[in-house]
Amino acid sequence: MLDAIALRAAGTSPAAIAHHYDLPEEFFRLWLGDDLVYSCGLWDGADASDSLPAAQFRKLDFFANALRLRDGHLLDIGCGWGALLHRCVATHGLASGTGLTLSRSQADIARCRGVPGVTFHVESWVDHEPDRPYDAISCIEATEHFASDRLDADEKVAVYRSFFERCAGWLRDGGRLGLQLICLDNVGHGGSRAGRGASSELIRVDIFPESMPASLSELVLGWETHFELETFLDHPEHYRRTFRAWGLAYRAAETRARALVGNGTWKTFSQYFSAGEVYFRRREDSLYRVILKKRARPKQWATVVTPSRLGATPDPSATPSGGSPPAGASPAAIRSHYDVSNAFYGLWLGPTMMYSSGLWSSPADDPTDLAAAEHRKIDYFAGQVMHASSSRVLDVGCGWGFNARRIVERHGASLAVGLTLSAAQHEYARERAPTGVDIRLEHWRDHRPAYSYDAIVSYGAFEHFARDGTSSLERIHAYREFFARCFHWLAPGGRLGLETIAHDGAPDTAAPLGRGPLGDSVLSIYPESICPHLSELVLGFEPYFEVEALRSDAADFARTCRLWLLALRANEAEAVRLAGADTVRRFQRYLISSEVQFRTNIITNYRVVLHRRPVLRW
Amino acid sequence: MDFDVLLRDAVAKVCNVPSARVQTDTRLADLGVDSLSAAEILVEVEIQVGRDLPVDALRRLDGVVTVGDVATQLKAELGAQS
Repeated sequence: MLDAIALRAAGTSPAAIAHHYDLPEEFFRLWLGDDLVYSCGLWDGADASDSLPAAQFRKLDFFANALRLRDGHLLDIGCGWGALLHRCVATHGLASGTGLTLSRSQADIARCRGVPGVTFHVESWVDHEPDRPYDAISCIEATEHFASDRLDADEKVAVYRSFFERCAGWLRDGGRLGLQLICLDNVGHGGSRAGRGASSELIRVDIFPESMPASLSELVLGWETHFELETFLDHPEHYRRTFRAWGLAYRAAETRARALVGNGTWKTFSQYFSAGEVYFRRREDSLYRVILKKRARPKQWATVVTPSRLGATPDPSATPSGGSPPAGASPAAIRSHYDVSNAFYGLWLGPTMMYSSGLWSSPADDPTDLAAAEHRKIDYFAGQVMHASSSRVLDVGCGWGFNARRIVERHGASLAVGLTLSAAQHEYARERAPTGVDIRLEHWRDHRPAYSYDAIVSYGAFEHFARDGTSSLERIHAYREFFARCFHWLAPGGRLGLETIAHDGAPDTAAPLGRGPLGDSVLSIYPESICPHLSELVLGFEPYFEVEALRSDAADFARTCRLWLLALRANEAEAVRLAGADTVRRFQRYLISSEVQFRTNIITNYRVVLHRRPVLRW
Repeated sequence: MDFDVLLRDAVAKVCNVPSARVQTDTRLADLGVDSLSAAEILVEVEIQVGRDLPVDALRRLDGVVTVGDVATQLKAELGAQS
């Protein structure tokens, strides 16, 4: 990890911070409003008349609730003029807290709020030494100042790794970290450098000198060792509305603003509001809200990934070599699992024959109704990725075909193409395929559609795209090949819905799900397969796709495993007759070990909605 | 059903031994219990009791030595819940 001297040198200098934040408080008040919240609001998407003050309070309340602050002790890194700590104490029962800012002017104003139990310091996070552990840490749009525009991607990642390690050290066990982040999106690291044009110069030189957003993968590489993901929200539209509101308030106060800062600075800020809005509308930047939870123990890595070790990204238009990829499970290995017997799977998967997690979204959802939960999952993804009723949809790893059927029959897809490597699944799905459903016995690498798709879904297939014994770098390359193909198959604006089991707290090893009997029981069931880590997944899709939703839903899959186990036990005699006692026993143990691994955060179930990038800039 | 009997039956089933071999002072290590069979015991008990235990119970099971220790541990977990 970097030492304090290196970290101080890496971030925005105090002089550069003062350049922006030490302008007169009254100037900021003109357009931020009296609450002085200088970050993206959380807008009510259904209410076009929502106001900036309401959106800002909603944002503060979101973090207060997500971080469970009642009676707690909070560190707010980059506390601005103190609005978050003030709100948390005044209305959320926060007992005490510490606010850090590099701006003397901000600290002076924050102290004037007189928030009981809270102290404000002019101090960098690099130099912070708490006298007792925090229950939670918030960092609202401050990471943009941690790694300046002089750093390359590897150096940025090193800074973020140090930051998250420090945060983990300051938090009590199970403590949470809430982040709001502007991130590079439709420009990669190289494309974000100075010299890209007028609006880039404005933001990077005149407004926020020596600052640079992270890309999502750089942050995940930073946090994944010490933190697990609890909540992730993608809200670029919210920043568009925030910048618009700031700009309108600024215009209304033009005379006073000119008097306070002079015509030159007045003009710069006027341009900044427009440029900022456009950045988010073009999605060159996105705005993420992220809630992380401290791991019980740090995750161990066999390979430390840095951006420069990844090499060039695969060209989506290049035709991949035929046959099965060396990085993924072989067709024979896939068949050894899925070709056991359709009747055997029917005994415990139930009428949907869906072999992936159900989705339970509210306490009112019947926890024992697996079929309804599988329907809910399909409907969730269809709602996220299908934006026209006549869509053409590809289902990679379509299983026994239920998803493809429902997407045509319930969601109005004109065509649903399903790919499977299992002959038993292929036969079963074809027999039941209505008009518009085309099930193929085909590897995705060999798929050559004559048309483009509007949407792609893939549930529980990604685990086979890299095999056991691979390194992290090899897996990322394999995933990039898949995402490059998806980019190529999709029409502009198309979306990809992906669900995959992933390592969470489990160490990065060549064996799936860690070592020992739990992991071995899974490998015996899924030969030649391995689950991704979050950073590998993000590094895989990032060159080709924007992320619109990312959920870590371990509890849903734990429940699904339990319901499968109960069904298998209820039909045990018939299962033994169909598949033999040894197979039934192996499946029971694998369902139990999977359930327990989901419940202990060894593994999780990620649900991801991705939007094809307009152009490739990575 | 008495919880101790329920637990001994669960351990016997998971370890594939006659119930009579599982006594309060039987050491889990002697039955070959590993992380996988500990998971199986936990889930078996949950199914029989009809309630889920906090999964921390599993981590704490790592430290127990005998079937009687497991019974004490799980009963405490169940009691703490109700």
